[in-house]
Amino acid sequence: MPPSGVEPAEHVRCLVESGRVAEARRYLASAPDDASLTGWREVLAPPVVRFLPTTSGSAETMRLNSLWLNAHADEHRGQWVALRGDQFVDCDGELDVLHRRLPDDATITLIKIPLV
Amino acid sequence: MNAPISQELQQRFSGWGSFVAVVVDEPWSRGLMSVAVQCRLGSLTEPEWALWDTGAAWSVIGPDVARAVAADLGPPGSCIALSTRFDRKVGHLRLLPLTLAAAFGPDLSVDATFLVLDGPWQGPIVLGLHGLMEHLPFALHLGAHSGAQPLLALSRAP
Repeated sequence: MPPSGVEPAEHVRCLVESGRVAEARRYLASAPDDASLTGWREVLAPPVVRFLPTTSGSAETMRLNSLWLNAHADEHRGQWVALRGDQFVDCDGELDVLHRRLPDDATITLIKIPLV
Repeated sequence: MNAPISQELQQRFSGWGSFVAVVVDEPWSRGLMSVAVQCRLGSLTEPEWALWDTGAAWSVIGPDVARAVAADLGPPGSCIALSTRFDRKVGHLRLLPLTLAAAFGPDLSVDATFLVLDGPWQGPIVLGLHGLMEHLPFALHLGAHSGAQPLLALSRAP
């Protein structure tokens, strides 16, 4: 139960933020219907898992990407790069900007090069 | 082209559903992408590399990624703060379809929960515990010292 004076949604937020996710789920399972808890019930529910036909996932693609990354990553720290195998396609600091410039092409892989 | 999976690995993981290729600790990542997998977020055509981080409480994306998949994101919930390797970050937990691209076996699609950060994120896409890994029985075969292709094996069982 939430401490006295604490709204149910705020109680869940405090539990989640402090890492007590299982406790938050137990509370939600027993809490009365409350519109403020609808969002929490959605994001803390067990997800739907589906198996789909295999598409483009490839160890070979990752190996080729790694060849380029190990040679050029330092030139693009903090950026998203678009690679086709071991070939550079484009880069940008923001994924949405880069994505808008790219052709609709599943052979291109997007990788954020961490800023260290 | 999908990577072949060795007979030895097929026997070891007999009964598992999907095998996702993994890249382990490449020099370019300077330790920030210890275990990387390929995935697709929302309806993006292009696959993305993501960090498979068993130490992360939540999966994480930055605001630029959120803008790219805006049409696929669930509504934002309450704001929470999360301690990360790049300091304390604030964001909202939101549902986002995620597909793990298999090298062998079927791809696996999950309506995962991500912490969508309000401010800039210096790190990669992070795949974490709550709302994703906790619901996916998995095993990591890193192939250390064996030369085998590192793989993330995912069970068909719930």
